[in-house]
Amino acid sequence: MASTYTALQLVSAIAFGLVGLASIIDWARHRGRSRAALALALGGLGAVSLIGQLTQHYPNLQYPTSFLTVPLFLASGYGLLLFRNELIPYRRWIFFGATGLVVITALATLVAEGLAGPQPAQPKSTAEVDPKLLIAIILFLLVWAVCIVQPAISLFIHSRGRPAVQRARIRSLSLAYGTIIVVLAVDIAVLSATGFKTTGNLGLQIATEVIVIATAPLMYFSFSPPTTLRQIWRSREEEQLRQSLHDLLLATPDRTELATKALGWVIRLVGAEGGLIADSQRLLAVQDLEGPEAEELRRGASELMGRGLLPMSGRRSAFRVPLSLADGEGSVVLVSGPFTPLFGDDEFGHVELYTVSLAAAMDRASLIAELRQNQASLERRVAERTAELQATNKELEAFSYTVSHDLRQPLRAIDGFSRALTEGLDAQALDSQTHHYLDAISRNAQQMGRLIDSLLGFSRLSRQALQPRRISPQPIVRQVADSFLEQANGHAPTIEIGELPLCSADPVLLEQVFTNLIGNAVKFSAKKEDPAVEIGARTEADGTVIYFVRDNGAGFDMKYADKLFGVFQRLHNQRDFEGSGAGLAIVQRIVHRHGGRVWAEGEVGKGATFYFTLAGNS
Amino acid sequence: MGLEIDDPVEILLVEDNPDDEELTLMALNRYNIGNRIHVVRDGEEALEWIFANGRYEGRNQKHHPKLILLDIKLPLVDGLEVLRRIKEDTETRRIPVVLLTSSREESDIVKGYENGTNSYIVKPVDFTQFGEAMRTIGMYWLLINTPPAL
Repeated sequence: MASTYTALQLVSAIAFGLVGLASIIDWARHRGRSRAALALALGGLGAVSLIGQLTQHYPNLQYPTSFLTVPLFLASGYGLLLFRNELIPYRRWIFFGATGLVVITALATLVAEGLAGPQPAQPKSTAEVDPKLLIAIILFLLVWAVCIVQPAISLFIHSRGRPAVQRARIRSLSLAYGTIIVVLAVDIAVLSATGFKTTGNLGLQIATEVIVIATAPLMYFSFSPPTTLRQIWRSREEEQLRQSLHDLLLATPDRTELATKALGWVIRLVGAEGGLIADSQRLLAVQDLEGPEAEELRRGASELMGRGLLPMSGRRSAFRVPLSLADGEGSVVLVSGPFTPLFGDDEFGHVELYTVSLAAAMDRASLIAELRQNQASLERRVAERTAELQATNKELEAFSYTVSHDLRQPLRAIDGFSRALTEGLDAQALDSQTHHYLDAISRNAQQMGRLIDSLLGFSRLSRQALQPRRISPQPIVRQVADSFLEQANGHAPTIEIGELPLCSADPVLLEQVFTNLIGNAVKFSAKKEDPAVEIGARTEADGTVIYFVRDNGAGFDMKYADKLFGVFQRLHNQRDFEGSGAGLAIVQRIVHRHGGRVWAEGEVGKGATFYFTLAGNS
Repeated sequence: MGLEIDDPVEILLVEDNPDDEELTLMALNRYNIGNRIHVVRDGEEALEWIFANGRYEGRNQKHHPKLILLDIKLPLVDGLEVLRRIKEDTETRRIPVVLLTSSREESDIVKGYENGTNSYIVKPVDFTQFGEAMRTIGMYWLLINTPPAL
C-alpha cells in the first residue's frame, strides 16, 4: 500500500510537471496574456509538485526549497486569478487588492518560515509545527484557495452560452481546480478530525492522489485539447450549424439578412469576439466591431489574397477567409479575443466550408432579389403600356364612332340626291351622258360606304373579346361553301372539302376567315373555264394543323406576297374584281388574334393557295 | 309643311341634318307614308314639342304623333336622352319611337333598347335601301301595328 502511494505520488508529480511544462511551451509558441496567466498557474502547480517529490527523497532540502515553493504555490493560484482577469476583467480595486493580498501573504509566509527555521520533516501533528508558521500557512492556504475558488466558479458560470469548444475547455479547467480544492478541503477536514495526525490514513491519501492525478489531463485539455476531443465537443453544435445553414439557404432570400445570420453563426462556430461579412464593394454584416474599425478591416481584407491574418489594434487579431461571390470576391473576417482558442486546420477548414455554402446562398439571394426587381419593373412597364394602349384604344373607338356617323351621312346625301336627280330627270328623257355621270356618283358613294363599313368592321374586330371553343371547321366550311354556290349564278366552281381536324377557335370569327378566303377563291377563279376551289388541312410533325384554301384563279405575283394582307391593299384592279381590300386584312387579324399564322403562295394566272394555322389546335 | 301648331300629326321627325331631313321626307313621300309630318331640328325642340311647352306652349299635348322618327346624334339634347324622357313619361311612353342613325355602334343599339326604343334603323348609304327601310317602318308602325289606345 505504501509503495503504491509512493508510486502514485511520483506519477502525480510527473503528470503535473508535464502539464505545467506543456502550458509554458504553449505560451512560448503562441504568446498572449491569457496563455501566460495559464502557464503561470499550471507551471507553478507543476513546479510545486516536482519539488515536493524531490523533498520526499531528500528531506534536508525541504527547508531551503520551501522559500521557492511558497511563491510558486501562490503563483499557481494567482495565475488562475490572472487568467480569469484576462477573460472577464475584475474591477480594478478588486484586482489590485487581490494582487496586494497575494504579495503580502507570500512575504508574510516567507518571513514566518525564516523565523521558524527548519521544521520536522514528517511532523506527527500540528503541535510540532511553529505556531507562527502554522498561522502563516493557514492564511496562505486561505488566500490560495480564494485565488482558485473565485475564478473557477466564475469561469464555470461564464462558460455557459459560449461556443462548445470554449465551454468545454473552460469547464475542464474549472473542474480540475475545483476538484483539487474540494479534495484539499476534505483532507483538511479529515486531518482536523483526527487531531492533525498526518500519518496513518493511507487509504485517504491514495484516494486523494488518484483524484488529483485525474485532474491533470483536465488541465491539459483546457489549453490544448486534441482534435478528436474538439470534434466531439463540437458535434452537437455542428449539427445545429448544418441545420441553420440549410434554413439560411432555403429561407432567407434577403442578402443582408442572410449575411447577418451567417455571421452570428460563424462567430459562434469559432468562438470569435466579433467579425464582419463583406462583398467586393461594401459591408454586409458587422458584429461587435466599431464602424470605422470594421471599414478598415474590410479594406484590409479586400487587399489580401486568400486566407490570412490582419493587423489590429489592442490585444486582438483578425483573420480573413475569402468569400467567392458571383459578383466578385468578398471576405469573412473574424476577430479573435481572449476567449478565442487558437485555430487549427480543423477550424479553418470548417470556416472555409461554411463560407462556400454561404457564398452559394448569397448568390442565390441576390439572384432572387434581381429577379424580383426585374419582375416588378416589368409589371410596372406592362401596366404603363396597358394604360397607353387602353387610351389609344379609347381614342380609336371614338374615332371609329365619329367615322361611322359623320362619313356615312354625306355619302347618303350624295347617293340620295343623285338618285333623286336621276328619277326626276328620267321623265324628261335624260341624256345618256348625264345618266352615266349620275350613275358613277351614286356607285362611288356606295363603294365608299362599303369601304367605311369594312374599315369599321375591321377595327371592331380587334376590340371584340375572343371566345374560343373546341370546334370542328367541317360544318362551317360546308355552310360557307354552299352559300357561295347558291350565289354563283350558273358559273359555279367545283368546291372540294378535305379532312379538317378539330381546332380551338371563336366560331364566329373562324367562319369569317373561311368566308373571306373561300369568297376570294370563288371570286378570283370565276373567270376560269372550269373554276375549282379546294379546302383542306395537313398536320405537321410537331402537331400543328395547317388549313388551306386553294383556287385555280387569277393568282398573284409572289413578289407582292407581303402586300396581300395589308388593309386596302389590292393586287387586282377594281374593274376586274370587286372588293373593299379589307378581306385578307381581316383574315390576318383574326388568325393573329388566335395566335396563328397566315401566308399565301401563288402564281399569276395559275391560282393561289392561302394557308393558316391556329394556336392550340395540336 | 303647312301644319298649324295644333294640327294632329302622324309622324314627328327629329333630324338636325337638312339633307337627311329632305331625303327622309323624300323616301316617305315616295311610298305615301305619313301625310302629316312635323320636323323638329334638335333634342330640345323635340322635347318642347312632345310635352307642349316652350316654343310649343299651347299645343294640345293629347295629340300624340303615331310615330316618332328620332335621330341619335342631335344638338343640345341627344336622341338617347330624348328617348329616355319620352319613355319615362306615362303619357308619352306608348308612342312608338324608331331610332334613326348612321351609327352601327353596338353600344348605341344597346343603349337604345335599354331606353325603350321600339325599333332601330341604321340609315344605309344606298338611297334605294334607305327608301325601302322607311317604307317598312312606316307600313309597320302606321298601318299594320295597331296602336294602343292612348
